[in-house]
Amino acid sequence: MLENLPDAFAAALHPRAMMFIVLGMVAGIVLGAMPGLGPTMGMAILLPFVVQTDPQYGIFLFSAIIIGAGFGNALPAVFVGIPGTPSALLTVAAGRPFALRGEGGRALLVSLFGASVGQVFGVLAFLFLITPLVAFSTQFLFPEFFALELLGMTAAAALMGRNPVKGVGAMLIGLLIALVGPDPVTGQPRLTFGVDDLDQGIEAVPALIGLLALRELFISPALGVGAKLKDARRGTIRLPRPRKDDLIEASGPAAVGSAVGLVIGPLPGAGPTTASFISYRLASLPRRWRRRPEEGSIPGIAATDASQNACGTSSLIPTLALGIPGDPADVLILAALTAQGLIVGPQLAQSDPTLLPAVGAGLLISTVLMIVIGYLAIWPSAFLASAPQRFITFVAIMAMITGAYAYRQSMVDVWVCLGAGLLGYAMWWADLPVAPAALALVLGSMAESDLRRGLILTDGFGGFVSRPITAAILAVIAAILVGSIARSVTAARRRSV
Amino acid sequence: MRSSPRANLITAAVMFLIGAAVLVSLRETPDVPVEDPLGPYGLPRALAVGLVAVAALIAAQAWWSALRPPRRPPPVTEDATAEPEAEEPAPAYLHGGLTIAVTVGYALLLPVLGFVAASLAFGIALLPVLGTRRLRTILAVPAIAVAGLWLVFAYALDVGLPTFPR
Repeated sequence: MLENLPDAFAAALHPRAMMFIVLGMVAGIVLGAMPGLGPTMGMAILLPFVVQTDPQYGIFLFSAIIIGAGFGNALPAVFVGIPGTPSALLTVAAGRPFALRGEGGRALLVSLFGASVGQVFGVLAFLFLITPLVAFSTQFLFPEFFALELLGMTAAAALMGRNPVKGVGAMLIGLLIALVGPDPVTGQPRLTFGVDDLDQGIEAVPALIGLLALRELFISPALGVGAKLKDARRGTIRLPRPRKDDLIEASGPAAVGSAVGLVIGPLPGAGPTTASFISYRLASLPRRWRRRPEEGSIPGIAATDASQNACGTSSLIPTLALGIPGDPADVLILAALTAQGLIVGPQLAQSDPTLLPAVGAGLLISTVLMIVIGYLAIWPSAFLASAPQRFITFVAIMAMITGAYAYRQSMVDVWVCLGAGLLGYAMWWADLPVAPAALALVLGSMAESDLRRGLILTDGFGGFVSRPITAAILAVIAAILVGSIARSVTAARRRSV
Repeated sequence: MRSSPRANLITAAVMFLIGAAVLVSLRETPDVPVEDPLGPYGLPRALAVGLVAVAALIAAQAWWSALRPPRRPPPVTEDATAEPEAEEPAPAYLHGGLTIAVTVGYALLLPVLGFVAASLAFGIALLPVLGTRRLRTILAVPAIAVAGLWLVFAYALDVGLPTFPR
């Protein structure tokens, strides 16, 4: 990886690549700054176009969006008092008091510093860990790949949401949708229920737009997000100047937050919100980092923002090396690559050896750009944070429906997107987590193909599960399921009389 | 959002119906020779059985929580330092439902009226649902947004959008 970095930098500094990175960074900051949107929604809108570009540019664009949003979500948290994404919830607590006394710019500069530190840690982890992980996974055959795909889906099902049983239910629904259409081995059509348009299966791209993004726009009017934003008070906006004392004060908590983000990021289902809560707690433990709530907290801002960015970048490691995404945004990266016919994991490094080093270089360039563009975006983005939610909802729904149509210029994809949006809305009503279903939708047919080829390779189930790595991964899956069910039962007992 | 035992029972019933429908649709044997022990219908069948089992578990959980109501929170004393947990406001399903209905109407109109006219109609119908009251805004915002998106898709991305049938 490291020896290929000079060539990778040359690829990432190509004007077209830079255009994608800059575009992604600006889009990420804007999406993060607009409560109710977020990086996943923006990536879902762009997905139909990304699958038609070079895979490298697609990853540049998507990773820059994730990085930009990791800072952008602090803008409304500080200026409006509403987090741009759920992971910025504690940035409100730590940063909003600064804006209320006219020092919002100071808080945002600390946030930008924290995000940059987290980003640097995340990129270093990516550069040093992805190659050994890919090398390890070259020992894998069909049974191991199936076990890994099952691990990703089960971890998302067991760890995302309050009830692991519902998580497994969501995963099964996603898997059944993924299996609609021709069987990967024999071509026999299944689960089409007599609908001719389903004979070729359900396209993952429009389904993901509906399931991950359109449903959020159906939910936000029900939750009255627009009204909440209108009621929020805007703080004074001033262009910030860096303060040496603040940066020194923020450096320790930023390192702690980065370490937490690096550990949490690769775990499926944990995500940046968990990382930011743990980091905030750790940043309030040492006496010298503790602050009164009404003061705001420089260590708190630095720790939470560093953890989010470290988490976002480190979650790319298992996504690209093993095909196990850490959160819904990574599911979209996986979907973009698989829609282009690339198989994530060791095959990715073999089929395109320049891709992973170029992603590392792109992440480094994105980090530098985040500092520059993030600083310049502070003032204009503060206005975006208070843009009327209803106009955003209207334009975003129109863009998603049009994007779904544009994917193959087919109304079938529009109905798939809409149907998936309705399913997502119903899942929200039923308290079913959507991420396991989305992940199953992406990995489902690949997992079935690996399972069945693995069964042929190993001559049945006995040979399949007796392979050491497969058995170890299946044991981890069982442990995750048992652990999360036990946790859920304990929580239910505590809640009842 | 947190769901009630009744909502959980409905969820379980829907999951059961999906699982049963899948099992019924796969009751015949595949008409192609298969090399592996699962065949084309094996995994969908296993998943459908799993979904029925999950539905039963969710129904059992709903029954259990209906039998044992949640513990009342302790009374808040004046010297309590911890902030009480904010209650989730009840969602306004009507707004969400209307947004969905208008979006379905948009998808139906797209092939009939074409992108421009259907999108304008969509904006004019959706913005009042989302709370816009001024007529000028209801007309101007869709016009500007549709023009912007049309430029992006048709010109910058060279995507053929649905047109009014000739």
